[in-house]
Amino acid sequence: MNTQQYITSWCVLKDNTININDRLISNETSEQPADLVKQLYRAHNMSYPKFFKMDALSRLAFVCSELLLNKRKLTDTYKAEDIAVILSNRSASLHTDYAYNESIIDRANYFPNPSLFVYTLPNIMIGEICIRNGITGENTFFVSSEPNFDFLTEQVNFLMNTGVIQCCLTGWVEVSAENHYEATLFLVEKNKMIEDTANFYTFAPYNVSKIHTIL
Amino acid sequence: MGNKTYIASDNLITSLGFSTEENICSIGQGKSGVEVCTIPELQHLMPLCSSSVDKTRLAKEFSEIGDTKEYTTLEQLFILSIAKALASTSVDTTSEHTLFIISTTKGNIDLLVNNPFEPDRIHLWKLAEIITSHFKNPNQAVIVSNACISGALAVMLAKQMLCIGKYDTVIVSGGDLITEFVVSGFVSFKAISPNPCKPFDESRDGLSLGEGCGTIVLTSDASIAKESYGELIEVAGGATSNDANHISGPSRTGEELGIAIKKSIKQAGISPEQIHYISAHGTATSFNDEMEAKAFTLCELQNTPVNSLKGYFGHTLGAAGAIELVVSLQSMKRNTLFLSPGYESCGTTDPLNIITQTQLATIDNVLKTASGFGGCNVAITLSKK
Repeated sequence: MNTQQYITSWCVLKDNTININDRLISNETSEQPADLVKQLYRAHNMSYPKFFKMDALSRLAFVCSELLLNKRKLTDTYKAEDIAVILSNRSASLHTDYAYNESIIDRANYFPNPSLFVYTLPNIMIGEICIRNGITGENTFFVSSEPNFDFLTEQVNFLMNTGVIQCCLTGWVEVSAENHYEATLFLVEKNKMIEDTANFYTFAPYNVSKIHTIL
Repeated sequence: MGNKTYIASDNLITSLGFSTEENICSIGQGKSGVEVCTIPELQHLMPLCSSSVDKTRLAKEFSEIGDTKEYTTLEQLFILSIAKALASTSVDTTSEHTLFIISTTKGNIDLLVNNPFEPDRIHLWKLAEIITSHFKNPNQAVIVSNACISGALAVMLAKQMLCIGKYDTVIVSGGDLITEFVVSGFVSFKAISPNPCKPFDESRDGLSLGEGCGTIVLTSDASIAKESYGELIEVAGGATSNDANHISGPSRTGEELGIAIKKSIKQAGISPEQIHYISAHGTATSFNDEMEAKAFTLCELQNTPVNSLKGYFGHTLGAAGAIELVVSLQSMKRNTLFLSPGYESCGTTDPLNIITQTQLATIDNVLKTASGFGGCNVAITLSKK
């Protein structure tokens, strides 16, 4: 029953550098990774006003998913409910947790902010990607101290092998409380989709780690 | 294909007690743990109701198994619940074939304000490390933080992990605390009722928050399960879905929760009419309950007896799925449908068969659903074997 899954597209971002499918598309000297994410949004004409309402984590996940998909509409290939989004990180939503907490620290100036509060859940970034792409399939958010690609590949390959899903957007999207950005996103499919055979990898822990550490 | 997943043991620590038995006994008597909130740090957010765990009792009971000064309140809650669930089993937590899956939305978020421990203690992975090291488990725990579906999702993941076959035992534990962080957030959303919540009722006006921990021990060995649980119950199906609609409001149609329900029932190899009872999410917000009623109707489950347990425990967030699955399992074992507190008259466009009286009934297959922020939905199917 086991079939082979392939990484048909990937995207790695670390602080000020981003690499998509082996193309270093940006190596900005900007000091803030948040600015890089905004620059990428603008440079690639993503025109999605909701982007500006998102917190740092959702913005990072959103921009990486857009670059990875490169205007491709997954629902043209798959049923919306057969596409999964399975993400993980180290700090959950801690970066935004601190920001929300600021709004309730001072009882004399007490304004809990609902638009920040909703982002104090790390799976919201999965929701944002699902909304943007019309994806209605499996969605799970995991936390681990370091990327656990053995677990993630096992989990995703199991769902693909058993036919629960046909396609998966998966990986690691982290914004630390100290404002470090790190994202490694993969599009996983059963077909290679790419004619350039040098440019694909099987979805195995070895390849996933290799891509993750490319920067 | 693959190994199956059976229930070996469970535990509940909530406002209604520190054992499954205590909780079910209270529910059977129609007692609710939801009451006017008396937590001093939350008085500026009144009016609201809450369902709180007795912290004095928690410290007292925990002191028998660990030093309360070395653990946060939530860690004590998790460890005590897991220890109680394991007490009736022969599970070896030191085995590499035993896995922990921890479910929580906000973990030790109270440390944001005052953290007497090391800085990393606020991280969810650290919380899980503290728990697994208490039980001397050699494996890295799986940590799920997927809003309000986390607890039920953790049970679905346990099924997948057992099916893959690397583990023979999975301990799922879901826990969350009532904190100013969470309560103020829901208040800012205007999602909280001043009165005890009234799921599916015409006059429902928001949720009541709760805290607690639910633990379920799962095994792939049917004979071990039957012997320790008394009844052989399988986690026969499980699926998640996403509304792809709005990050803080549910679907208008219920179709996407319907996707998860249909997949879960199909995976269990049964048809909708074989579901004898639904444990709904039923938060008592206008939109959630309306959406769920639509989803159940789309799945031809509108006549199936259904309740929301939020009227007993409040909404316990990352613990809710685990806590409510334990009650569902007990409903199956006792062949008892528990009344849905707070319900008087139909408050959804699509009417449901809400349980208004605790009664005996044959319960062979149960559907448990949950939905949460981020548009996530989960459906779990439990079957007697």
